[in-house]
Amino acid sequence: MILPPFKLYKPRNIDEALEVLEERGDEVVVFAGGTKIMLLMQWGMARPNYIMDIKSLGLNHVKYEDGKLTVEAGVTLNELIDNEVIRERFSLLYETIKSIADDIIRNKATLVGNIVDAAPYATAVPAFLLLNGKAVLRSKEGTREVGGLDFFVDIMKTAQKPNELVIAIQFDEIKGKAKFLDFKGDSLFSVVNVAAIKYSQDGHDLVKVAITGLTNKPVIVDFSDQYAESKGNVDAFLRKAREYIRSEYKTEVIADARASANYRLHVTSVLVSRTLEVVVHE
Amino acid sequence: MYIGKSIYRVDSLEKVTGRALYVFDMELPGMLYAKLVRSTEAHAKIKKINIERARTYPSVVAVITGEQLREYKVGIYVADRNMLAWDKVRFIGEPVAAVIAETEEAAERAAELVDVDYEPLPVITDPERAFEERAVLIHENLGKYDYYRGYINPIPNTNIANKFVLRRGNIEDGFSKSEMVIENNFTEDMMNHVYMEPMSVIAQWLPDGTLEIWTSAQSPFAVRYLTAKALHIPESKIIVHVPYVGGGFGGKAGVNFEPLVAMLSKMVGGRPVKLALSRYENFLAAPSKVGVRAWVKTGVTKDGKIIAWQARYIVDSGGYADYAVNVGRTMGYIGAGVYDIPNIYVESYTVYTNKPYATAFRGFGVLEAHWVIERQIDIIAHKLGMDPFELRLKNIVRPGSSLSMGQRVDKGNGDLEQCLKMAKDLIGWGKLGEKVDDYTYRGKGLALSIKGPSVPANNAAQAFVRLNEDGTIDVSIGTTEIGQGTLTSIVQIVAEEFGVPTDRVRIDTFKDTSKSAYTWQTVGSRSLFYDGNAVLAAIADAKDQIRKIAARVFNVEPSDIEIRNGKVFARNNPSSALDLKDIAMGYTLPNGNTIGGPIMGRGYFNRPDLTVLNENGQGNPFPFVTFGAHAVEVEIDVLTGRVKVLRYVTVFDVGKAINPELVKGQMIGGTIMGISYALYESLKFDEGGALLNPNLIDYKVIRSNNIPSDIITIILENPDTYGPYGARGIGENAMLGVAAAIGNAIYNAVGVEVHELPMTPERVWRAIKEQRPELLEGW
Amino acid sequence: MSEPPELVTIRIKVNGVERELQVRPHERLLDVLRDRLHILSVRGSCEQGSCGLCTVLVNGIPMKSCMVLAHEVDGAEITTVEGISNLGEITLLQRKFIEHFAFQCGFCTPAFVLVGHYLLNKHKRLLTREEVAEGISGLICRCTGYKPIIDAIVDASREMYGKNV
Repeated sequence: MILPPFKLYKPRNIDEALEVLEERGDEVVVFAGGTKIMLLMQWGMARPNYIMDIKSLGLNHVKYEDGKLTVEAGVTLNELIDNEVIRERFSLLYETIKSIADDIIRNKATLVGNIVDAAPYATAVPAFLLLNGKAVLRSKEGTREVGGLDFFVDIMKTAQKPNELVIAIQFDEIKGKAKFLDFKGDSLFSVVNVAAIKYSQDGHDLVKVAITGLTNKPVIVDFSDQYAESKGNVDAFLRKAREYIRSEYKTEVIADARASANYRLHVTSVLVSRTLEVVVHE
Repeated sequence: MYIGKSIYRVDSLEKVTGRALYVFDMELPGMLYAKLVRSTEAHAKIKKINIERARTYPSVVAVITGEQLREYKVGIYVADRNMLAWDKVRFIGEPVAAVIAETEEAAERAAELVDVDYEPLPVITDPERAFEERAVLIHENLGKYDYYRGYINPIPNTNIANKFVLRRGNIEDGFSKSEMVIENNFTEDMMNHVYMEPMSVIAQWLPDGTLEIWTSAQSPFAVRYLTAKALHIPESKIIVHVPYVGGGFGGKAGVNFEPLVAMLSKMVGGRPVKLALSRYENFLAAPSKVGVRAWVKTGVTKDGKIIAWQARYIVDSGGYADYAVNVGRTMGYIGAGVYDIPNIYVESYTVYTNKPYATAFRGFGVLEAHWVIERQIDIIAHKLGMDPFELRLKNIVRPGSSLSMGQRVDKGNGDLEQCLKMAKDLIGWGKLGEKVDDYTYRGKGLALSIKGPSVPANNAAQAFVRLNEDGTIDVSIGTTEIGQGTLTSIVQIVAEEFGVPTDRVRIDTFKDTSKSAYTWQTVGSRSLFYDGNAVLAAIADAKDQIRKIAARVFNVEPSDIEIRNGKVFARNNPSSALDLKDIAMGYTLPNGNTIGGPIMGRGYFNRPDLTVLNENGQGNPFPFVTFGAHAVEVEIDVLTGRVKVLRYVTVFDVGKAINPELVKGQMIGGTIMGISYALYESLKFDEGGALLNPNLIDYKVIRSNNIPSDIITIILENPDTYGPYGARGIGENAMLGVAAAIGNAIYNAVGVEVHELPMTPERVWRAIKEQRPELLEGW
Repeated sequence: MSEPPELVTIRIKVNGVERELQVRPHERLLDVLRDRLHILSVRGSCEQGSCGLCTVLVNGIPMKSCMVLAHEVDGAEITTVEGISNLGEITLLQRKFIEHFAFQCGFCTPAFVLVGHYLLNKHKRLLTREEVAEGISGLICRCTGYKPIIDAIVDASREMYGKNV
């Protein structure tokens, strides 16, 4: 098949890119790796009027400074896998990225793209949420940052405005234990993605879980209280965590061709239990 | 010399360098491109098709609708299909119009501009409902269609395209004598072949009225025959070319878009027109594999003798009958597979539903039947408290007994018991499965299989063998190269018989029906058996001609002539030998006189003793059967229901492995495709008949990181009575028992019976929840 | 704001030959290779980035060309299977494919050869079966069951870079 025709902007610097977005933001699809929009076009689900390729803007740096990681919009997934800082200091991200697509797609797809698409099966969003991820948004008006659940407004919709470009995503280095698991049934896309983390803050243990694919919007669950109450009885804690997931999301859970509501809810509780088990293990 | 050696494939260099030619890649001068407009309704009358906007789109040459082709009906066994839907559509994806343009892009854009007005009709997607339904008819004119009488039995005023019944002994008697009766239901979802080369056809008409077709198809002579029939023209006016085929697996076995593309070309003055489907279109508009709803009831004695076997299959053929009616028929007459049972009653109903239609698929009904048979055998064993291995040993056919359809089994069919015992030993058959940790269990399962080609009794193969001036040899057969590699084995046979190196033998890898030797179809694992024998006959004929000439040269009787190591000599004087090249064109005497002329041997092969099946489905249908055994070890994560195949043992008695690596290739390929079929692959439809996963993201095909780390292939060689060098077919066989072996292993691991294919994680989890909830306590 | 140009000029080197082409924005690298340059070993078998038969090397890195727009590779070197050996010769890896019967219908073979070629060059050492299986998991082969392909690539790495380990 041939793709539907569109017009192409190829700005040479960020100012030019922002000009385009200011004028035509709601008709323009931003294209770095482009794996999502290419797929949507092949599926006949998107016919953008304009595509703006941002690969000439020089946004291909990975910076680590003062416990903060900045991944710019053009950095591919394999570039991150090959990056020592990611492997050694951001194991949750590393584990997450290795689960996305396959080795060849990872030569093209970007981390920022995976997060800003806000698809229910977006693999990297749980890590974004648990590592205090912030999207750096720039427009002609200036720069702002939006992080956490605030960034995810609805299914496939983020807080990014039509005249804004996501320049980079920032993550905090969190010294603790983290684990990522996804579940793919009979599809290449995940049914559900789960990340868990445990770290100390002001003398307390914080235990959190982030999930995509369970409901229309990503979910963060703070299990710190239940963990504290369990007083080291891991089995009891995990059982409580599973029960919580099963009861809390019973009505919101998505049902689709990839998994029924019942099964999806169950598998989520299994992955939550398994990731928590790893991070609370002494 | 060459038989039994793994000679490198003759198509090796072309394929590893990317030079191999497929129709998908072909371009002819002046070629136009066709794109299909497909139905968006599952069952509807076509009221009006608006083609104006498409017809006037730049570069568009013509827009054709079903109205212009309504006189032509296509069908392999039942002529139930219009090339383009005319009065009504029967599935979402059915072609209703075709746009022909100078470029592919223009054809695609213009196709989007065709508007169709439909009047929806009630939709039937469930095959069991289709079977019962009398008010809503998908083919209301079923009673008026031409069909292959005596072979297929459509039932007018129903949605039943074919009813087949197999009877043996007395089933009521069998059950009355049984001490235990076990009944079960099994299902199989529709599946897609996912051959990597999408369906592709090019057609043009030559000025003298000859139709020339290039097609990615398994059976060029069937394409010629069925296209001639569909278009009401003589076969001599059609030439079908087939280069390399990028996979078929039964999906390209019969006739598909060739008649349509031929007519499209005709309607633009005979210019070459190409139709190459996209993967999405291939899922919708090209045929898939049948779905099945099965019920089986078995009567046994307490000590494990099976004495009654009754089954009913409802076979989902989608919107048209195509090859699926014969798949359904075969599912019936394979009966109880490898088991020797005195009383059998099997009914098989192939039904229409409003879904993409189905065609042949590797295994051809025998595949689907084995899921049912080999699972039922294990369940019987569990209920009797018997070892599934022992139950099988007690009930398998042995030389002297006969298969369910009455065909006798003897030593010349191979050693099933040896296959079973080897598989059992190599997998390390033990007791109940082991528990690896709290939620991970391992188990082992066995299955047996049998298949022969499901062919008309008179199907045949032909071969030509021709000597060249330099003493090299050309051989021609009708089998296409669809990946199976039979052509290499044939080269080995010719090389062996003449005693020349394989690189001095050339085979026609591409087919041309006006030049190649004939074979019925490249299906059913029949190719090496039929074409190999035809080649041996052709070689014998060529040798006859050589002997007659050499006899005069050496002044002896033809029976005194030997042909060996590329040389021709009189037995009593081997040192005075001629090279093949000295006789290839006849022998020229010093004075210029010639003895004989250019040597060309021809031969054919068929089995004159095959019979059709009588009204009880009894007869002698199989030219050969291949027995095999499957054993698997799986690991199950009960919390997610995910099944992983750890080790697989596949044992087949192929009679003779002319090229062991090629045989192994089919065994491994068939096993892996079998695992994919068992665990992942399913066409998912909603109630309205829309296919929800017409792509390779949501239709999961097994990949390199899902295969078992351990696959043991064992080739047994107890020769076939009729096979060339004793060889039997293998192409489909390795896939047949995989699903059941895995289902059986799941029971061994966690004591849970799964009855649905594919055994997806969700289905396995559900089965565990229902049958052994204690394994999931707290989860 | 002005409309962007209808055509984009790209300069690419394909299998060692420099090319200058005018492409429309929605033309994919797959379309350019097949329809303009008639390099037919690169095949769009799913056109959605899942089967991998369209894989080519872009500056030595494998990419699925159905997911790459032609303008994206301006200035790049593209390698297809036709570019890894000269006419009349085949690489050691290709020979291993033949020896291990690592193909049947052959439609996917160019893609697997290219990715195998990439894995050998990237690691330059003996490869494990697991890393080869992972490395080629973006490609589908329907005929062989993958095992002989993995055998061929591992064997090539052994012969090129490692002895018995």
